[in-house]
Amino acid sequence: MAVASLYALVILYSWLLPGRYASIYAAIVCTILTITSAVQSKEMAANAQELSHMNVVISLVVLWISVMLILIAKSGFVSLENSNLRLTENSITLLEKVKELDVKQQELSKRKIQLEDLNSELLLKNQELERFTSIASHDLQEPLRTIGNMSYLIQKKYYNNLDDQGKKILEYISGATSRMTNLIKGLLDFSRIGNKRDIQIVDCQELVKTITEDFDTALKAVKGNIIFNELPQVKGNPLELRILFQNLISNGLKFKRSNTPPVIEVSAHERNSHFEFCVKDNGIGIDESNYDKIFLIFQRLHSLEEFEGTGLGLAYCRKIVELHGGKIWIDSKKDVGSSFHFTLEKNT
Amino acid sequence: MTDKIDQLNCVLLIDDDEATNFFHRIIIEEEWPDLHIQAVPSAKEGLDFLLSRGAYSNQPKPGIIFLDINMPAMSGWDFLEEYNDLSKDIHDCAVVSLLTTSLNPDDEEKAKSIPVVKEFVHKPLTPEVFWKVVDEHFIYN
Repeated sequence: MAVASLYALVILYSWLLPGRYASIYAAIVCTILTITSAVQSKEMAANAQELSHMNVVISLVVLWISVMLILIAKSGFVSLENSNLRLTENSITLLEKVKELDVKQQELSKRKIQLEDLNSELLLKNQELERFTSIASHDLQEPLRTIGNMSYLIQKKYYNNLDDQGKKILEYISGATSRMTNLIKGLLDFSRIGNKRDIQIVDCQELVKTITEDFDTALKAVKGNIIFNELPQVKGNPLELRILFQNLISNGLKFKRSNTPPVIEVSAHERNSHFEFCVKDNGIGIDESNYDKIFLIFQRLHSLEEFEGTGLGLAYCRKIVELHGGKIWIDSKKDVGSSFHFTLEKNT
Repeated sequence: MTDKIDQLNCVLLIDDDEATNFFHRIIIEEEWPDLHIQAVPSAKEGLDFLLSRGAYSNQPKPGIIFLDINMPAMSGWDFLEEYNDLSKDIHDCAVVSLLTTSLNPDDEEKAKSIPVVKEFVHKPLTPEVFWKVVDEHFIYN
């Protein structure tokens, strides 16, 4: 009967059977077989009954202990397998994410290369521009200065030897020369805006006050008035902002309607991240079809006889505002007046 | 400038542009008719004149040197480097005045850092500026 203990081997092998409870089923089958054989052997050996009962009990104890062991071991394995499965799943998603990242990285490096290309192109264009500036400043200026110098000499030494027509011709030459000198100087100054700039807090109230004082004589001559009140502080380059306000105000004084004293109003409105300034005049105004033209360099809408100028003022203004990260635009009505709006960053 | 130079006998004009030299010569001649004015078309010839070399032997020592900056081959800056190495005698009796174009403020910044450059003159030279330089550096009657 102790042979029934060998069923323990069956139980141990049931480890290999699939299913969590396979060992239990095997154990039940083995138990039944053991009991059945014990019942059958009763008839064969009555004297050995006591012993065989003991054997059955021992076999069953061994059998079920094996079952317990198998179950414990197997359940440990199952949970291990589960975490293994989860780990595998996680590593698969991780791998996918890594792949995605890799693709994104490739895209990024492609973009970076594109940006670098654009940047070097820009640098090249900038260099070209600088070369152009130096040509404008020196190479064009040199012969122009000679023309100016020589017409000055003629004016100084031979003016009285010329007849009226000759004098007139000489005056045209001198006038055109000094105008061209101014244009080239303006062009050079224009290209210089933005070089070597530092950003400070600028008090616009103070700035406009100083400009108004500078315009004092001009204002009195035309009986003009400049109105401004509690203008805010902004972040910017003081020199450039001065040119900006100065140009807009002097435009207002220059492009006045005849018989109407110019009144210029400077105001500011707070917006989310910036201030919106407005320089409003009561001058001749601009037709809507010319709104875009006026901010272009050397663009003029009037003949020199009507209004003198280089056609640089508003181009300066646009460049300065854009350098400060702002926008400039106009709102105007012919024969009523113009309002120049521009935005500047708050002092925060 | 502490010590003034006794006499102004000669002015040296260095400019590759002939018309500029021509113009400056007339301006100075009108102001000071018997002053010796020497115009040269290059920085190299300017040095030759200063050292009485080559074609320029036995020359008066220039009191004012009007020096152009932008010249081919040897620029005004190159001239100043060589000039710096010349003898003290020459330095003591001459004033180097740089001719700058008002259009190029960077030049003026650079010129201010060079000690031998005593004056900066915006082209073209005018009688007023000429007399200003003379009054500043020379004793004259």
